[in-house]
Amino acid sequence: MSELTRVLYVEDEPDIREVAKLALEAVGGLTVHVCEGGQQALEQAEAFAPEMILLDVMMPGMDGPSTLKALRELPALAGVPVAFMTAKVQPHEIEHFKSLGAVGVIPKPFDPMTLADTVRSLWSGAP
Amino acid sequence: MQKPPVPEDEAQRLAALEQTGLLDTPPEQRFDRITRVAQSLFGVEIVLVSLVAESIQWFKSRQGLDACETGRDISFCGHAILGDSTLVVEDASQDPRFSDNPLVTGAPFIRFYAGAPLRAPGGYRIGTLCLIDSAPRQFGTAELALLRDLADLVEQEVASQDVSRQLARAELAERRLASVIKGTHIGTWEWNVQTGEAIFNERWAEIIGYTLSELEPITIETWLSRAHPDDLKVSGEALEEHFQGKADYYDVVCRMKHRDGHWVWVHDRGQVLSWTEDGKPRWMAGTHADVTAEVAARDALKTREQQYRSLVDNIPGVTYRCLLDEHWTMLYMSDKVDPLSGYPPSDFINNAVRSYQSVIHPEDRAHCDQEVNRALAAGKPWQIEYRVMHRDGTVRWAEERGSPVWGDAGNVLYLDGFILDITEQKQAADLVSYQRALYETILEGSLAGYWDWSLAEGTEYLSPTFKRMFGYGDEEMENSPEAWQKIVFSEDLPRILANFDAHVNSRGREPFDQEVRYHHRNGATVWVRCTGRVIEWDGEGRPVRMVGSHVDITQSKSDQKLLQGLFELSPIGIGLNDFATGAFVDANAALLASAGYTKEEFLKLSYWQLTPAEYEPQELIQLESLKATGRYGPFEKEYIRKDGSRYPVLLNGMLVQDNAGRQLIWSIIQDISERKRVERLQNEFISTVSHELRTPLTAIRGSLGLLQSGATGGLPETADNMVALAAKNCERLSLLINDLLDMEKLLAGKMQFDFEEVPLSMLLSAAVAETEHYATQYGVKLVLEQPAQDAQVRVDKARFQQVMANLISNAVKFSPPDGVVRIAGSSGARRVCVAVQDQGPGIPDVFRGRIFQKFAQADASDSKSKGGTGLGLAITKELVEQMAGRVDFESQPGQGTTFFVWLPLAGIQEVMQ
Repeated sequence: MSELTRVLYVEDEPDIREVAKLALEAVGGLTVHVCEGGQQALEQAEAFAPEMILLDVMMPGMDGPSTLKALRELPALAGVPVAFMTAKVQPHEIEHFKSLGAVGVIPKPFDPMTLADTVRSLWSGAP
Repeated sequence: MQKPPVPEDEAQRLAALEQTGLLDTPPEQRFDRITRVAQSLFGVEIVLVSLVAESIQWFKSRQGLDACETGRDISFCGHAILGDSTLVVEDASQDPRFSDNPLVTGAPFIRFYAGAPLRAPGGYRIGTLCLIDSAPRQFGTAELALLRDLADLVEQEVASQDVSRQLARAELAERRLASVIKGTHIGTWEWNVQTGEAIFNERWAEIIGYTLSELEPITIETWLSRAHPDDLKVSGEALEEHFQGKADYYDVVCRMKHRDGHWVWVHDRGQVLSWTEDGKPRWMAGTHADVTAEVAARDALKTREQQYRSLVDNIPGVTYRCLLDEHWTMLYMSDKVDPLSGYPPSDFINNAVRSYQSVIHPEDRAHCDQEVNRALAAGKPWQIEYRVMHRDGTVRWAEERGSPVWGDAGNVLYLDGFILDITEQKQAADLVSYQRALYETILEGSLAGYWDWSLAEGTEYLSPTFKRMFGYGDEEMENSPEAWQKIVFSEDLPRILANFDAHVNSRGREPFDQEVRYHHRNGATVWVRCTGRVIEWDGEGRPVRMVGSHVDITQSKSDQKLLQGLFELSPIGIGLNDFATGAFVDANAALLASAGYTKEEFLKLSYWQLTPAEYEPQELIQLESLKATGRYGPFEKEYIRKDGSRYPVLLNGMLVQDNAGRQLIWSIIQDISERKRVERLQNEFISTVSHELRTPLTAIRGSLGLLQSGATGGLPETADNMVALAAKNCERLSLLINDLLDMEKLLAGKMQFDFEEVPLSMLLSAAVAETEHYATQYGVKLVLEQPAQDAQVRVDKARFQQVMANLISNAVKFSPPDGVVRIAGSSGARRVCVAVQDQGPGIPDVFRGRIFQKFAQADASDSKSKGGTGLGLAITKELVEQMAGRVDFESQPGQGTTFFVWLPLAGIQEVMQ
């Protein structure tokens, strides 16, 4: 199995986006493309060709689950593992997200030092 | 002496003699003339007209002799009648037949006798004309002829005597007959059977209302046309029998049509008088008697007789005759005493076995004596009621009526009377009065009136309360249906009567139940609920007795208005539904407003039409509850508005019955749209807060973490310290937010628990593993003691870890350096216990009561040094309790603290207090 390098990150909150991008790139050494919302992700995702997609759940306009559904419609991205990043981390909520097709949930607030490792392990565990 | 022999035709001869009617009659000139002539003509001493009867000869005429008769055995005439020729005895003393005859040897010393026989019509020799002399003499032919002539004269007189007698008899008979016919009002008829010719008398016509002339011409048809057709057959048969000689008379009672049209009963009796040569009846005669009155009387008598017989047969009581003594000694007693007393009448008669007095109830004996004596003194009959002690041990009620029979001397000979068993009536009457008293007692208590209507008699008992309800005393209102009809509102009366008719026509199935208005004596209106029912019907289904009650509902009527007002003005929806169909019977304005219907539209609906299909299972559960307990709810569902949209409602209600017995559901139908909206907002608020607070925190924490890691390049040492400080407080803020949100969720009941069964040992190992790193930072050692016997508990793993983390981190924080925190598990029959023991300073007494309260920290200064939000134990307690467990502690200042968590074993349903 090859190494994970390209991660698409969809997050409406610019500060979080900034911190996470830094954590993934500077600490984790990943190539990250960030989008501000679901719509933008749909437009740019194919071009970026990510190996992993991270989706915030609560976003104005298209929320995380809607974005996931829409991305799945794109044949090129249909097989790319997706993880949600959310504060809703109760077990039943995790189950719900997984049922939508996510490989996992990364709880917020996240630890910037271990974020990349978490992402990598989710990616590795993906089918 | 020779006795005269008896002639062969003696019987006929005697009859002929009798027929002459001469025997024992006084002397008559017409005979005496002849004997006197003969006496002088023949110059003899004695001349007699002698009639020879059975044992004597009797002299109808005599000359020269005083005696009226002599014995036949010594008579000369007895010999003379033996032949037609005259008997002559010239000297009796020389004649061997007579020589020793006393009449020869003694007075009148007969020597000469000449007797010429006398013949009655038919030729029978009934006696003689005889000459007698005491000197013998010769009697020549001329003299014989002369005597015969004289005898012929006598015979002529005898014959004429017969004719005149018959004539006189016939006249007498005719007179008698005429007077009888007239006196008895007998109609007569004669009928020529062969020609049909007929002769009737005036009375015959009168019987049927005509005069004879009006019936002309009279033939047998005159009768036939007026006889009753049914009787002609009987008449014809009777006639035929008579013609054939089987009956001496024709005798029938038949009907004839009177001129006025009614039927007259006639006794018709007759006989054939003459026959034709060839033996057919010719003339027939008979009578008609009007027996209408007799027939009517006989019929009446028969009817009376039957009535009397049936009366006697049906007398249910005992008839008796007894003596006026202390035992009521019975002289006669009818059989009916047996069912009354259990003893046969023979027991009582003459006190053979027992006295009647002995079966009268001892308590009633004196009363009976007293009443009978009083009646006797007053000369009146008595009527008494008393109890009879039946042989079978029961007590029967008897009603006795009697009167004395007085002797000539004014003394009482005996008592006659009649005893009736009235036990059943008595019991029924007792029951009625008992029931009435009972009803009244009950109803007086409830201020209700009572009425008891005997429809057949037209009387109606109205209880005192009934009357008082309208301001009348018991005496001021008569007990009749008219009494209440006078004061009831006339406009309500037709409704009452219609209800009564429906009740009667349905044989009581349709209830009689009305709310009616009455005029109180003081002018006020009294609302009354009048209910009743027919409790007795006759054989033809007509009501006999009806009872009911009157309840004053004036107050409840005004209460009803009040309630009606509340109902209408209530801001909460209220509906009334038919239990059987679900149809809305009533709905208030609030309900209509929420549902968006007009009242008219709404009352055509059933609640099923308002309920979305998916609620049907819940609805059915509520209906079950309604059936079982009479109540349902509260439960939430949705109603469909008229416009098709839905709104949430909270329902609860109860089952009631209306006056007609129909089951209805009263429901409070609360429109909870607003509450639902607030709830939704609250949920959203928690969600929003958690998101809004955490988002910046995530950014801050992430930034600080990156700074500290040197990912952004190195920092001066003082700056590094500041960043560390910021990071530490950021962490605390994060924990605080988490705790706040947890607390909020717990209190709002929004905390989700994902229960599963796990071994206690596994939970404890995980808890120690998770907190080990934290303890190490404080230099505290965690010691785990697993339970001797492992047990399954049913918990939310994450929440249990949260509990353990709270307790262990607290214990670590308060432990002295190098201290030990001991975590021990143990399991019992029903529950497990987890103890977390530290070696800290203990909990001050003053703080113990508050330890599980929010933001309660023993020492405010401690919180800073120890860290923590002040929510940890409050959350711990909530979490444990929501997992059906209990938390507590033991502590002594200076000697450490032990917190205990008890949880039920898996499968045990219990909540620990």
